Amino acid sequence: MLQAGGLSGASATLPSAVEDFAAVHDQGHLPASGIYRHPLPLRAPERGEQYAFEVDLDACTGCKACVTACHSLNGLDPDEAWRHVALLIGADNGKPILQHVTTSCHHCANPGCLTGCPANAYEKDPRTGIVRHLDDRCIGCRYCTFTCPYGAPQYVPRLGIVRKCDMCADRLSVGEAPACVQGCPNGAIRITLVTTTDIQRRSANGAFLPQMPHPRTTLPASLYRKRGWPAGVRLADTDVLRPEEAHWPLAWMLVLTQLSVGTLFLGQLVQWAGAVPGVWEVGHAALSATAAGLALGASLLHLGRPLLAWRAVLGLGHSWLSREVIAFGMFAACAAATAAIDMGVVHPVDPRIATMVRWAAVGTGGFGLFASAMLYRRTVRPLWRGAGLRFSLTAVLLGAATTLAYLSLAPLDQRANLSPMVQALALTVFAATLAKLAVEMRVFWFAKRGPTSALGRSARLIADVLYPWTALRFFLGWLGGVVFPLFLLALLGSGSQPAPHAAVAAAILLIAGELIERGLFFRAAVPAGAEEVG
Amino acid sequence: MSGIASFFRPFSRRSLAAELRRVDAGHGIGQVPARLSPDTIAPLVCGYCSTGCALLAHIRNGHAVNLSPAPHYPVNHGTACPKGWQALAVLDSADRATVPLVQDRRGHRRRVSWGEAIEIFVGRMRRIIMEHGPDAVAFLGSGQLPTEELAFFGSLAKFGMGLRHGDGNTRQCMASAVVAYKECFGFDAPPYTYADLEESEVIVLIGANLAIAHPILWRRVLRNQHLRALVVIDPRTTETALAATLHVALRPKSDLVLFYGLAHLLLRQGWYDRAFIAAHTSGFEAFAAHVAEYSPEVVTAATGVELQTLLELARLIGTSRRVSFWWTMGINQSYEGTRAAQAIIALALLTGNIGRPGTGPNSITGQCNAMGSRLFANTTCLLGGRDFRNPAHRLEVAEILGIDPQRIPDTPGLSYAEIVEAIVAGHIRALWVVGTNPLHSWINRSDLEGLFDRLEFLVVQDMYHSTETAQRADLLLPAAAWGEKWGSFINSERRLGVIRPVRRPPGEALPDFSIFQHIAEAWGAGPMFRSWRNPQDAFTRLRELSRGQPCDFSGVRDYEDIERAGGIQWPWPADKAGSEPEPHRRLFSDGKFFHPDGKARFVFEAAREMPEAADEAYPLLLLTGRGTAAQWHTQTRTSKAPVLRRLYPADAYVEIHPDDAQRYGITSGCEVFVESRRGKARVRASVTPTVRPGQVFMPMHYVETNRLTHAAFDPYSRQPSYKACAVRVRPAPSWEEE
Repeated sequence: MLQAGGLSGASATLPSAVEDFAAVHDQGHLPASGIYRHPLPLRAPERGEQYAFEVDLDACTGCKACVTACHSLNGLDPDEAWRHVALLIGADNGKPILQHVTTSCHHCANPGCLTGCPANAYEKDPRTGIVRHLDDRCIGCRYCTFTCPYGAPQYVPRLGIVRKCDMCADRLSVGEAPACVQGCPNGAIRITLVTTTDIQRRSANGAFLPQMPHPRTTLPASLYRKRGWPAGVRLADTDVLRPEEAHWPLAWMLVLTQLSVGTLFLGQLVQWAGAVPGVWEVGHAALSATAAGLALGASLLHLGRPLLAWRAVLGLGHSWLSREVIAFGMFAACAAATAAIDMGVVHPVDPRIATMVRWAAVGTGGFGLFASAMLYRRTVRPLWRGAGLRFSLTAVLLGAATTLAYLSLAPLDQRANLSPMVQALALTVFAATLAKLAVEMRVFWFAKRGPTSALGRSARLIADVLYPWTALRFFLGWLGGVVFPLFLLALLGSGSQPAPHAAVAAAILLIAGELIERGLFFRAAVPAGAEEVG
Repeated sequence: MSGIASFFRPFSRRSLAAELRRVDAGHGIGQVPARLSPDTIAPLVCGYCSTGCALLAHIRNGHAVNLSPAPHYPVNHGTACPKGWQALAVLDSADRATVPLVQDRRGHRRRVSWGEAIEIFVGRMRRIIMEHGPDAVAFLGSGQLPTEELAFFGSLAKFGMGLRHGDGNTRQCMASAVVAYKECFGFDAPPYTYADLEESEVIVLIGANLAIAHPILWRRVLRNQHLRALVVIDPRTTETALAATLHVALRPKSDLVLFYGLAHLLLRQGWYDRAFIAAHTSGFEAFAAHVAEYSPEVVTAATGVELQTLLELARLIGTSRRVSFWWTMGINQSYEGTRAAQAIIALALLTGNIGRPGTGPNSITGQCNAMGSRLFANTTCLLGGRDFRNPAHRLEVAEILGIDPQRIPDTPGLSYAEIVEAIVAGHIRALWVVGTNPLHSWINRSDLEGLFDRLEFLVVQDMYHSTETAQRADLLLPAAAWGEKWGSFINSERRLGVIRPVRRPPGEALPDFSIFQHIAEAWGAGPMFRSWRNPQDAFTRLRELSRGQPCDFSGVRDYEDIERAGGIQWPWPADKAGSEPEPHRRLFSDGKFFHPDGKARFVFEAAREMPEAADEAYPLLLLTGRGTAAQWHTQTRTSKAPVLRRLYPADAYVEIHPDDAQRYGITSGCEVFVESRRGKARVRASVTPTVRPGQVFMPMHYVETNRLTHAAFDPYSRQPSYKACAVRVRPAPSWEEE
C-alpha cells in the first residue's frame, strides 16, 4: 500500500516527505531511473494551480490494472469503467510501435461536460481543480457524454445517471493515492500540480496525445510523458466499427419538434397567401401543438430521471440544451395557445394578442430549432456539424408535407380553390426532399478518409454496417418526397382534384424516413479523433 | 426493473452520491466504497497464473464483497493484474454449474441429485471397467486445482479405482520445462526466486511476453536497478520486446540453433566458467563437441539473426556477472521444447549463471498450481515428484499413505496426447475431466469434437456448465471454484500459498475435494482416504510425502504457517520448522544438484526442421499466444467479468504484417479466413507491423485458433507444439461459410 503523502491539511501522523523517501530507499524500491518521485504532490494546490494526472507512458505497458483497480476500489457497477486504456500502433521508420495509453477524466480547465450540462450537475472544485459530478443533481440526459471529447462521463443505466472519475478526491484529501495510482504495478500514474497557464500553453500548442481530439476546446489538465513520440501511429481499434446508441426518444423528439415548428411556419405562410379552407382553424395549429406536446413527452423518455426534468432549465447561462428545453417549452405553450385561439376555445380580448401569440410561437420555435442545431454542433461528434442544415430542412420538409396532407383533407367543395397552394406545397416537399437527401449523402464523400477519421467511420457505418437502415431511409424519402409529390403534381396538372390518400401517405412515409434518418444520425455519430474537434 | 426503480428514485431520500461514498475501512487497506466496507479481511493466493499474488478478500457478513491486492506479500507487494482484481466477479456468473446434470443421447440435460449423480458415475465407470478393463478409463486434471485436490484426484483414480491413464492440462504449458529440469538437475526444480529479476545485470527473456502475460513479474524487471541489458528473444515485437535494449527477432522455432550458436561463441571466446563446469557439471566435452558445428554462419542462416546481434548477445551473456534466462511458452510449446529448455540451462551452466542472485535458467510457469500438479497430481510422477517405475518410491508412498504397494501402478500411464490417440483407437471409452476445457484448448481440436462423441461416458467436473467440454458431458458435476474452498498452490518460484473459502459455492456445487470423497466412498475406496478428512488433513499427507524429496516442505506445519510467513518456498525441511524463512530463497547456491553424482548435466540433440513449415499452398506461419492481460486461457472465467470484457477485443482476430495484408488484399478490420490443412476460421484482420512478414499471430483465447493448429509434439515431454503451423489468409466473402 502506498504511504500517505504530506498533504497540507492532512493528519499530523502522516510521514513527512523525507520519511517517505527513507522508507522507500531502505526497502530498495527506488525506480530504475534512480530518480525518486512520490506519487502525490507534497502540498495542496495554490491559486492558479490544480491537481492533474501525470502518466509516464514509457512505463505503461498495457496491463490495464488501473481500470480494474479503479473499478473495485470505487465500487463501480459491473460493466462501468472510469478508466480506459487505448492502444496506439504503427511503425516509425519500419520500427514497430505499440503504445498503451491509460486515460480517464482529464479534469479539464474548461470542461466540456460542465459547460454542456443543463442541470448544473458538474462543478470544478475551485481549490483542487477536480471536475466533480454531483450525482444527485444529474437528470440522466447524457448530454455530457456528447460534449466530453475524451469519453469520461459514463452512463449507469441502473441509476439513470452519469458518473465519472473524481480523482478519488476523498483519498487525496487524506493523502492516500487514487485507486489507479495505487493499482499501477509500474508506477506509471501519479498526481501532480499544474498551473492553469501551463495547461493553456500546452493546449494551444496541441501538446496532448496523438490520435486524440485537440486539447484546445476543453484544455485537459493531464500530463502525458514519453521519450519521443513516434510518427504514424493510429488507434488500434479504429478499424472495428461499432454503431453508437440510437437514442430513439431523442430521434422522435427532434423529428417532432421540427415537424411542429415547420408546420406552424408553413401554416403562417399559407395563411399569408390567403388560400385557406374553411376548416383551417379547426386543426392546423392543433396539429403543430400536438406534435410539440408529443416531442416534449419523448424527451422525457430519454431522461434517466424524468422526474427531475425541471432541472434541465438551470443551465440556461451556458448550456444549449437548457436553452433548447426552455425554447421548446415556450413554443409548445404558444402553439397550444394559437391552436386554442384558432379553434375558438379561447377568445382573446384584443385580436392583437392572437397575433402576438402566433408570432411568439414562430419566434420561440425558430430559436428552439437554432438551439437544437447548436447543441449538437457543440459536441465532439463531427457528423453533427451539419445538424443545422439537417434540422431546418426537416422542418421545411415535414411542415410542408403535413400542411399538404392537411389541405388535401379539406372538404371536396373547397379543394378546387386550394389547387395552387397544394401545387406549391408539393413542389416544396419535392425540392426539400432532394435537398435533404443530398445533404445526407454528403457523408459518403467522407468514406475515403478511412477509419482514422471520425467522419470516415461515420460514412462506413452508414454505408456498410447500418446499410439496411440506410437503404430503407432513402427508399422512404424517395417514395414519400419524390414519387408521391410528382404523382400529386401530375394529378393537379391534369386538372384532377388533389388526392388526399397520396398526400397523407406521403406525409407518413416522410415522417418515418426522417425518424430513421435521425436514428442513423445518432448511431453513426462516432466521437472525433485527432484534429476533428472544431 | 432498474428503469422503473430509477424513475422513482427522486422520491427516495437515499442519495445517489452515497453509492460512491468512500470510508477508511481500517485493516490497512485504505479507503474503500462505504457500501462494500468489510468487517474483516482474509488473504488468499490468486487462482489464475503461477505468479501467485496474494489478494485480500473484503468480507462483509461472511461473504467476500470486494478484493484488493495484499500489500505486504513478497510476490506482488500490493499490486495485481486485471484478472486478479476481478477474481470475485467471475464467481457470480449465471453460467455457474449449480446442480449435477445428466445428458441423454438427444442432448437433453436433466437435473439429478448428488446421490443419483454419484451412483451414475460409479455404475457406468464400473461397467466400462468390467467390460474393457481399467485402462479403458482415463482422467484429465488441471493446474487450476489446489495440490490437495490434485493429490486426492490422482490417488483416488490410480490407487482407489485402479486406473492407469491420467494427465493434466499442465501438459499443455509446462511439460517441456519439467523434463528439461529433471534430466539436467535430477529433479523438476526451477532454481530461482522472483527477486532475481531485480538482481540481474542482464535479463534474457525467451518466448515470454511478461508485460502482458505476467505483469506483476514485469514490474520487477522495470524496478531492477542493476540492469545493463534487457534481451528479448521473440519473433514478434511484443510490448515486452519494445522495452528491450536488444530484441532478437529470430525465425520462429529456430531457438535451439540460436542457443547452440551462442554456446559455440561463448566457447570460442573463452567466455565460460571452467571451474564451475569442472566441479558441478557432467557432459561438457560432448556438449562442446556438439556445438562446434553451430558456427555463426550456420546460425545466422538458420535463425535470420544478424551476425552483429548474435555477437552482441554472446558478449552480453559471456561478460556479465549476473545473467538470468527466463522462458515461458515460446520455448515449452514446441516440438523440441525440452531440448530448447535444456539448451538454455546449458548456457547458464556454461557461464556459471546459477545459484547466485540474479542468475539462473528460469522457467516461468503458467497456471496457478502448475507446480503442485507436477509434483502431486500422481499422473506422470508418483506423488511428491517420485517415479512410478521405482519400487523403492512405490514402497515409500504406500507406507506414508498406508496402502497396499500393489495398488500403485509401476508405469506412469499415457500422456494427454496418447490418451487422445487411445480414444481415437477406441481403447479409452470413458473420460473424467476436472477443471479444464480440452474442446477449446487442445491442439487441432476439430479432431477432438467428433472424438468426444465416441466416448461412452464423459464426466466433467467444472464450475461452469457452459464450457465447450461441459456442454458435451454425459454427467456434469458442479464444482466449487477458487474462493469457495480451502487448499494450497505452489507458484513458479516454489512458494506455497493458501487459498480459502470467502464465498459459499452456488446451489449444490461442492468443492472438488468433497466430490472426490463422495466418489471414494461410493466406489468402496473409502477406507483408503478416511484420513483425508479435509484439505488441511490432506496437506499433512503431502507434507509427509515431500519429506526427504528435493521439494521437501515437511517443515511447514499448516496453512497458518504459510500465511504467517507470506508464503514458504520449498525446500523447507522439518529441521527448519518454526523458524522464519527468508522471503526470497534460490536453489543450488552450494553447487549441488539432485543427480546421484551431485552434478548438473548438459543435455543436447541436433536441431530439427519444424514439423509444418510454410510452403506454397500455405505460405504464412501462424504463431499463437496470449492476447491481453485481461484474458486467461480459454476465457472460461475471464469472459464472465463485464469489466474484463471491456478490456479485450470481443471477437477473434489475426495480426498480419502490412506487406502481407497488401499482398492478400486485406485491410485492417476486414473479415478474413485463416486456413490451415486442418480447418478454417473467420476472424477479423488486424494489420500491424509487430508481426513480421510471412508470419501471422492469433491469440489462443478464442475458440477458432486451435481449429488451425498442427498436432505435433515434443517427443520427450509430449507437450503440444502450439506455436507454429502453416496457414494462408484471404478476405472472407460474407456469403462463404466457415
